[in-house]
Amino acid sequence: MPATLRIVKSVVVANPPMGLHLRPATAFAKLVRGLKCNVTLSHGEKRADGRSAFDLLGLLAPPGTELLLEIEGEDAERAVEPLCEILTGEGELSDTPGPLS
Amino acid sequence: MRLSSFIVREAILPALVATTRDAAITEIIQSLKNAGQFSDADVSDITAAVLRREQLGSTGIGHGVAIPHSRHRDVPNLVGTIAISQQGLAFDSIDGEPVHVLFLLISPDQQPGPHLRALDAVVQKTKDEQLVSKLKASRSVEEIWTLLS
Repeated sequence: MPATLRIVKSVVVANPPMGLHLRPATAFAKLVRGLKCNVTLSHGEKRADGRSAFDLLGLLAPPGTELLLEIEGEDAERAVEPLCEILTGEGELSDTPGPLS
Repeated sequence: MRLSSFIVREAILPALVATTRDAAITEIIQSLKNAGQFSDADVSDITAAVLRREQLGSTGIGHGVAIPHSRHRDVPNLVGTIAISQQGLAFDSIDGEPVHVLFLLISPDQQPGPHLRALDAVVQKTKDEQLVSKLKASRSVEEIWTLLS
């Protein structure tokens, strides 16, 4: 049986201009639901279950917010990179497609 | 932010006719237009923007709730409304469940603050699964408005 891995990492939210809002939050939760690990994101004293978009949105994390990402479980190692990419997506997963031209 | 500060009561739909995601979004935007929130000219632009946003990633956030939204340059103030689908809509939600409660939000371009506060207000309210069940069971604008107040 594989040893349970625990990874703790500080991540700065990008996703301008909205931060960790609907699109990245739902993408994050969807990804976590497909992994064999528990994921927690913390912003100060607020903690969010990575499986819950409601929890993640409740972190109220605008761009520049430093979050603590904790991943524990069988898939921890392969989860860390895609989860960080969602949080630091530099606009690829920003919340809206931009103003209409 | 209180939901009643941006939800347009006259546009609330207790029983969506639409049976698909895109048709539901179109029906809700038409209801906001009928309530005097958008001009005829803006309806197709706004509808296209919300549908495009939805194609980038589902706004179905789980336990039967979705928050389709977008921004638009000609909308002076944040507006939104709520619609109930009795049969449920396929929405590619994160939990795979059909969506019964839709909050649609349209906000002015270049004003992310009110948009974010409105999203947060909807999320905080709909975290309560019992409330979502009551919304789903509502059959009138009055019932829905009372639950949101």
